[in-house]
Amino acid sequence: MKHFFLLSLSIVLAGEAVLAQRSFTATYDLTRKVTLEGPISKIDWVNPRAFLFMNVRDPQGGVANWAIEFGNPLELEKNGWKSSSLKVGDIITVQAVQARTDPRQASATSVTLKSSGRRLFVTPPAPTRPRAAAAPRWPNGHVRLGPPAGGKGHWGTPSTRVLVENSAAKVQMNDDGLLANLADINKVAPFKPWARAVYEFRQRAFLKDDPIGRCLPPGGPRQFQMTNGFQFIEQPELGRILVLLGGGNRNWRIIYTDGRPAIQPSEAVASYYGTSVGKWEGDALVVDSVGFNEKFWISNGGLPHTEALHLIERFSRPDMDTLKYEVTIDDPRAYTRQWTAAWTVQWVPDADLQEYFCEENADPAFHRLEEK
Amino acid sequence: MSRRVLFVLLIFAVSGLAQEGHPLTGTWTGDWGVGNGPRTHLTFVMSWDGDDKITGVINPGPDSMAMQNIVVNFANWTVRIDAEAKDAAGKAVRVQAEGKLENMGSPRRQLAGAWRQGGVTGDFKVTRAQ
Repeated sequence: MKHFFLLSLSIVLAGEAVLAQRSFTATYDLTRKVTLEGPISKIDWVNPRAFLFMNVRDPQGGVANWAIEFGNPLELEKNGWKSSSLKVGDIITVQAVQARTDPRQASATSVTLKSSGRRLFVTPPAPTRPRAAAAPRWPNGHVRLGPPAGGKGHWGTPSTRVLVENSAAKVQMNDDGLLANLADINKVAPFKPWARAVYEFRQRAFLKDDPIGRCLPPGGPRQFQMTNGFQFIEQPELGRILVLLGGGNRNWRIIYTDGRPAIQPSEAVASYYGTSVGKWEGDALVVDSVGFNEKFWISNGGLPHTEALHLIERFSRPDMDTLKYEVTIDDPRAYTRQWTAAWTVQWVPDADLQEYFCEENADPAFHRLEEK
Repeated sequence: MSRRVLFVLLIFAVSGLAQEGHPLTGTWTGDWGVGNGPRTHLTFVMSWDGDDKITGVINPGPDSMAMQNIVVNFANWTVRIDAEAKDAAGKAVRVQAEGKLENMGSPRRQLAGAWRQGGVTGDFKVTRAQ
């Protein structure tokens, strides 16, 4: 055991790839489509990524065991699917995109049960929402950023998952922040030369070095663009607001609203979420944050920053179902000037944030390791 | 300890090294030497001041060498460092390191290339340690 530990540690410290949770873009190549048919050998209905394993016969008569990723089980359950929707031995047809590195890994775009022809794990169309009610308020008149009194819910899907300067012309990216056209780099943000070079390097590498892939937190604006949403817990009696993050290892962040002055960067201990002080300006909560470490990316897509990062965030709630988020990014070591971005986030009523951890199960190689 | 638990611990072990800001910022360790001859330990400490200047020191301590000029070519990630050492007699000796950043996306990225000190030319390699 000791030898195994030392060997493993030395491999990791030598900078070898860590089996963790890379972004979809870093893991899969959308241009490599494949259709597979065969019986299921194993189902791992595990958060955050469900996998099934199937035996596929090749033209030469051999059998290869493929790992097929098919979604987040919590999302699948919300849509009515269960772990029992499939069972070991079922013969399925899978259309998928192949992984960039593992030749026997793919992400399903459709799963069909051969015996019935039924397509599984389909997302139902979103229900039509009635016109949103007015934003809930506290007795002192401030907008409530969390649920109405006696209710529950959380913030869910953002209107965009990428961070681009507001004034930028249309820039096409996928949800992981990968640019459709590298020639658009200069439209994303006002980079200093080194920051532009780092951003381009990350884009050319298909975001494979994303710190989230090493289970590090999504600090900065990125925390409001993750898939599992977030929640505000307002505690006016304690002079603070907690931000509970559904997409970052159940992290939380504290925004102090007790009237304390903004922290000087030189006084702050560098951290993933910084040190935040907020105050109300009309119906907007304005939050000033400094004290960030350099261990994370502030966006899907790999925008860099330094410890000089200073964020000014404005949170407002124009109606019950909409949170408006505006951020000014002030990092004179990485960008030539301050710049802003904004998006909205949709309210998810009558629901709690689900458990989400960045875990080893995101990589099928780990399941195979377990079987040895 | 199960392999699953060990695996998670290993992920967090490497996470502590992360540095996603300016790629040269941090402490780097390694050595330089000529061919298969003896190697001399190196520690680089570099930081980015935000005004288009990288500052640093080699082997901080009594025998430190101030980095006088650090130039990065972002097109190919090559780096040139000029510094000044002192020989046993206290006489200034010019040092120049010209290398290339490798494994750029890794917390333990490396800088390796040619090392010139006085009239001697060898090779060097340093790895970002924290």
